[in-house]
Amino acid sequence: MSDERPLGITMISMTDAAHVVRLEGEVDILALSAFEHAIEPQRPVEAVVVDLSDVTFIDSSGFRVIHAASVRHRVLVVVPPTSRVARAVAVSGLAEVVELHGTLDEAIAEVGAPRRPAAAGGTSDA
Amino acid sequence: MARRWWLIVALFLVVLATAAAVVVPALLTAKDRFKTEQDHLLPVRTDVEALLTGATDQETGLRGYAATHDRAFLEPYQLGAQAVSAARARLEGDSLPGPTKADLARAVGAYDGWDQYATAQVARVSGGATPTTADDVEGKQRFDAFRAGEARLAGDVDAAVGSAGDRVVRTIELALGVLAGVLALGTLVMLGSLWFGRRWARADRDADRSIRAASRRAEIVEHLAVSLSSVTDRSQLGSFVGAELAAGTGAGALALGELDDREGRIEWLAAHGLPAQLIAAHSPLPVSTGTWAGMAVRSKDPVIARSPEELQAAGLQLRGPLASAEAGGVWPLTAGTATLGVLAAIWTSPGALGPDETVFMSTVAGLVAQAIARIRVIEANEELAASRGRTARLLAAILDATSDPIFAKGIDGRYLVANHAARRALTSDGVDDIVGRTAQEFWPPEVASEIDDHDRAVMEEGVERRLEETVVIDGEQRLYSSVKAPLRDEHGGVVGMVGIARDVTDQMAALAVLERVYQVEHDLAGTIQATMRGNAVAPDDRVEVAAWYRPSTEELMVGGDWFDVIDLDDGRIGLAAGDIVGHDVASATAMGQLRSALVGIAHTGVAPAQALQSLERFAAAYPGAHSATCLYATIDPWCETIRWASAGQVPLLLAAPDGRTTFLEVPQGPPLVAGAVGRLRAEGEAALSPGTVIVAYTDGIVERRSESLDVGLERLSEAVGTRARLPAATICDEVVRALVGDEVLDDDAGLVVIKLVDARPRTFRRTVPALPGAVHDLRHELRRWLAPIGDDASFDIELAVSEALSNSAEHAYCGRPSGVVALQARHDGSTIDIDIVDHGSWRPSAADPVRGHGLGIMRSMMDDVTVTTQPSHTTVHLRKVVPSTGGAT
Repeated sequence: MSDERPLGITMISMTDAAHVVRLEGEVDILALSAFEHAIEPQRPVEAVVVDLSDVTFIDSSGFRVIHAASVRHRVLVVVPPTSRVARAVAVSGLAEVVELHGTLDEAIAEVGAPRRPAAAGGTSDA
Repeated sequence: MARRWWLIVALFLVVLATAAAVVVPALLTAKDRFKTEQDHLLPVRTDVEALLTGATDQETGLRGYAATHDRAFLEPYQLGAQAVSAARARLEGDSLPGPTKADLARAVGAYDGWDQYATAQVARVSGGATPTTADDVEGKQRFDAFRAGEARLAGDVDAAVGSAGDRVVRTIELALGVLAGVLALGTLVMLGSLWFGRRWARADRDADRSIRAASRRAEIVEHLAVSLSSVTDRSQLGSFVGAELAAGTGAGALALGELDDREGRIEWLAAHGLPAQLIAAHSPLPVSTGTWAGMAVRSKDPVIARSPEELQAAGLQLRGPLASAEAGGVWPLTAGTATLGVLAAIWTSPGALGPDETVFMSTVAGLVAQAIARIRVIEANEELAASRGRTARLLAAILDATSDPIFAKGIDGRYLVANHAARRALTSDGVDDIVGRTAQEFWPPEVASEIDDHDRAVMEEGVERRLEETVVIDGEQRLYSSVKAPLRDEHGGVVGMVGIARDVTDQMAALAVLERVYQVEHDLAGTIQATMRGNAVAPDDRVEVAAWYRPSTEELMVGGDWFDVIDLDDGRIGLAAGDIVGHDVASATAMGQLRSALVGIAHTGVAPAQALQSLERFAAAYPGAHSATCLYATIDPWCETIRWASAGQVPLLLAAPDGRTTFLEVPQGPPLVAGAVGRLRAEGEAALSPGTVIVAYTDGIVERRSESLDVGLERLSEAVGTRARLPAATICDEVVRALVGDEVLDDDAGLVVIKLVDARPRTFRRTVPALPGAVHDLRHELRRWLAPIGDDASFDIELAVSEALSNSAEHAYCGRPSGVVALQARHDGSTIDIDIVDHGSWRPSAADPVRGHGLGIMRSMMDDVTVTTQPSHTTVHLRKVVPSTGGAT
């Protein structure tokens, strides 16, 4: 139906500290419910990290999910400063409610070092 | 923090205890050693003294015995000798230091020397001899030697005792020094930790405070956004400023001004904490002044003073409770590229306007700006509704003032509207209300059914009808010429019909004869005129073609001018233009034949010069075509060239995208059949580039009676050159409006505009269901279409479009039946225009601050965003200026 892959979501259980959601592809209205589901941690954590490094497109559908999560959790968003997505993030006003980082490592270091890097969530498709 | 402090105290105590643990045993050891040495040295000292005492007793006894010979004196002598001997034995058995031992040996040696002398003296005295003076001297010398030795020995022992004391004192001093050092160090550490501790605590508190402040600001922004969403007019905005905004910003004084862009001044809408006279004195406030508000409007940046000094430096004079102002600023209220007003605020608490608060205030200003923008939209709608009401009343008045019956009927044949004349025709007194009634109620059955048949046909076929209806009014047969047209709603669906009838009973009788005479010619002329525009259709998407034609004002005179745009099937496009002398049916016929012939010749693919050669031979056979002027050009959009040959026709005009224009004047030949028939005319060739505009026109466009042709040509050249970047249709419309307008022309006039475009499709149109999957796919299709403009611009447009499409698609989420959303994009050289139409209303949801950002994101990404809301549908128009892609053929 389209030449783009659907949104890939990987949830990585890092430390007790962080729930990491790595996104890949496009975050638009079609990816809304999958993203809403993925961003919510299954157990108490100190912070939610949303990694947009491999995201090629995001609009306010995605921003809204992140914004909603930021009301309940401390949210760190990883977005490489030179990417086009960074432009979208810049005008979204997200910076007012989440912490922005250039790399995942930087964001993780901000929350705490990983203890068990094994993937616990697997990959789910939108 | 407290834990850290206690840790330092504990650490200090440990160090102190360790120091004490080292120092106290050292002191005890020193004391023990001192005691041991004393215990040892004191008997030694006693023995040394015993040496002297014993020897002195001996010496005293010896002298007494020598002087008196009394043997009683020998008793102390002997007791002394025993004492000396005992002390000597103890001393010699003691472990004394080397030097002391040596002194002991010398003292004992000296004693032995004296003792020999004393023994000899005792022997001599007991023998009865009296000691001589010499003996006394010798005895005295020897005893003195002994005493000296003994004194040195005593000195040694005393020195030893003293030095042991000194060592103890030194040890104590050292221990005390160590303790004092540890104490001093500990105190320093404690003081230091106290100082750092305070700083840490302060940093912690600052961080806590700033996090709390940030989250509080976020709450305030959300709260303000929610409050503002229900604001629909300026008075509500005013109370919002006094209540929520004052509370939310903590400002001691606030003023909200709206910019009147036309007058260039600010009207204060609301103020809080400021005297009414002050506001009145500055309302309205021209933005050209050097006031803060003026500067903020002009620069579109906030003007801020963060301290009383900066406030003073800005020359702000405040009185009353605001005399203690600590900070203040004026924020421009901007929405998109427009500045709508200013928000001024003053704080009386110190540090109220840090960098975070400045950003916060900008956010608040953005919210207020959106509210003003919304109020303006609401007002504009109300104004529109009011003006519609006025228009409706005006229309009713006009209708009633017209003597021709005008009426409208619904699809069921019932009258919806009827003007005074219509009411008069239907009823005797003209006042009865006929709305809601049918023709059957007013006319005899056969007339009514004929009328109904006409009405139904108009509504079913959806086309205007001109017809004559004969009715009997007051016993007299009247002929009504009526125009009946379908009445449509905004979607184009037929909902009824509207009719205008004119009583033509008298005129028709007179006209009937004339009508028949001209009918044939009229029909022929009309047919020819109609074909003028029929052939101005773009043969493919490499060119845009637009044409305009107006016959001369004499109604039955058909024009002698013609144009044809011919698809040559080999990728080239033929452009033919001509003018026949005369305005009668004969010349029109000749024109038709010349046109047909030239189109036929063109399709053989020959070059322009050959085409005109063939045409001239053909024309020679038709006297009506003699002296006709004609031009034929072939345009090759792929090779980007134009070739032409001309037979006395006005030259083609070329305009490059940058506005430079050229008339293709050379070569130019005589009109058809005016010279040697059948000769090959000269041919011209010129290069084209994408965006080039080619204009063919008639004399009527450029000729005016009062001026020379050159003036007209220059006018045309300028009119086209300045519009060369516009689409062909727009160039055509605007040039006609500029050059012809409503002018009454002697001659017929026509214009053909051909514009060379890229091979790429110029427009993109899709209509899809407003569902997430469909709008997702639509965005991808649009991305491929946008590919030539480059990734960055494409991403911006895609994001903006996604916002608009998502908004439409969310109707599905609201449980409403999803409609369709239509997208139309146009790439016009340097701009991309996109219209997105959906049958719902744009919904910037108040409860969700990020939703509102959809519009904000669109505005950030595009150069222009216009949302037009109508009851039935919403149109979002997006425009972006993009780098020109050049000649991508």
